[in-house]
Amino acid sequence: MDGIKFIEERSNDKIIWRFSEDNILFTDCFPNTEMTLEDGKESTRISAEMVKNEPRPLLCNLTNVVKMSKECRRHFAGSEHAKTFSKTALIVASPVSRLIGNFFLGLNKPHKPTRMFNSAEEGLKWLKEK
Amino acid sequence: MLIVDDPRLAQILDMIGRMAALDFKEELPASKKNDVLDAIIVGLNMLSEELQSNMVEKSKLYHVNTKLEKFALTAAHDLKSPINSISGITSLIELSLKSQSKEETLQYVALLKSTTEKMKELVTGILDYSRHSPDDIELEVIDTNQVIQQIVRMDRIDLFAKLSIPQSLPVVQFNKSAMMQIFRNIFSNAIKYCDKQTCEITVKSIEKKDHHEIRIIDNGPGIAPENQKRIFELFNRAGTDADQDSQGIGLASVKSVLTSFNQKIWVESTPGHGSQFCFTLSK
Repeated sequence: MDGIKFIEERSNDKIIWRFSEDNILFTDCFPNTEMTLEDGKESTRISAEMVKNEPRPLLCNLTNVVKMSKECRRHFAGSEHAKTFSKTALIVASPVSRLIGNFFLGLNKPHKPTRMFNSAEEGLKWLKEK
Repeated sequence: MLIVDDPRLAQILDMIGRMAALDFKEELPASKKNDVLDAIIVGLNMLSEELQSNMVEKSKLYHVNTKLEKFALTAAHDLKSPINSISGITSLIELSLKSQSKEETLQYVALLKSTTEKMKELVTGILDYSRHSPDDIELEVIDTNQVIQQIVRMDRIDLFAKLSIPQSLPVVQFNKSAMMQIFRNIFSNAIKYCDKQTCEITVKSIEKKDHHEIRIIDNGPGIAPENQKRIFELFNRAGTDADQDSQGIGLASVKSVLTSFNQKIWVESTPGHGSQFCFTLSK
């Protein structure tokens, strides 16, 4: 992921959001993050502000997430969150995050194209595909 | 590498056992090692949560299905009765036309009109009952005093009952047509079922902490304790005489309207001493 120039960065106690100059939103979590519905809503709000309400490709790194509530998964798969991204690459480089990703794709079925990748590089490559 | 004597394995087996017994209450703690066993634990927790939520949904659907089945059966049964009458009356009209008895024909036509009118009322009642879904209700500021005055004026309630209505009824956030439906139904029931020379209706409002309690008190025959809950069920004619022509929709509609606003309705009554229909209106 070297060479990416970020033009805006925000964070709270669980998530870091970065927006790149080529209009890709990156979200990353701190180790052992447990995501609740409130965290999900906060993430959507900040994402919407950073993409200025224009859906952009999203690289969401779930690797450090150890728990995500059912309500949070439903929120991320719902229409409100879908307004913030055009397609999502989920980075799942740990056993727990891979499982959460599988649940998310299998049971919650997000509104827009979403795929899982083992590394950010692979995810970024897919996001940049036309 | 999996360690066979890892205590998490025993916890996982217990959890699978509980899930097999449809017990989804417990959640396993993850160790935060973020290894395969933690992934299994997180997966089981999420499966358990999803299964529990599906079971709750399924039970709600079962309840709704049972109600719908009962609704369809009773509606069909109730509609069949006037249709049978209409069929019988038209045969009689046919016969009377053959015998050229104009008076008899007119009598049957009047009967036909009244039967179709009853059928229309039944269909309108079913529609009123079904119409109230929380999504299509618009809230507005309503002065209960004005709503009651309007009903009294439009339906000429004062001709059929002695009214005692204070001027101090509350102003609330509600829907006007819904509120009119509530008062109309309760007033018309008080008049319809009154067994005294003069029907008396009193309206009271009691201010509670977070709501107003409205009481509509009548001097009718009262309602037996075993019927006090059933009268709010759809197509229930508990405690009514056959000649009173109840379709068992009015109070069910009133309850449906109030429930859609998260309000409560109940009746307090002692047979022979009138009834008090009470409902809440949020402040």
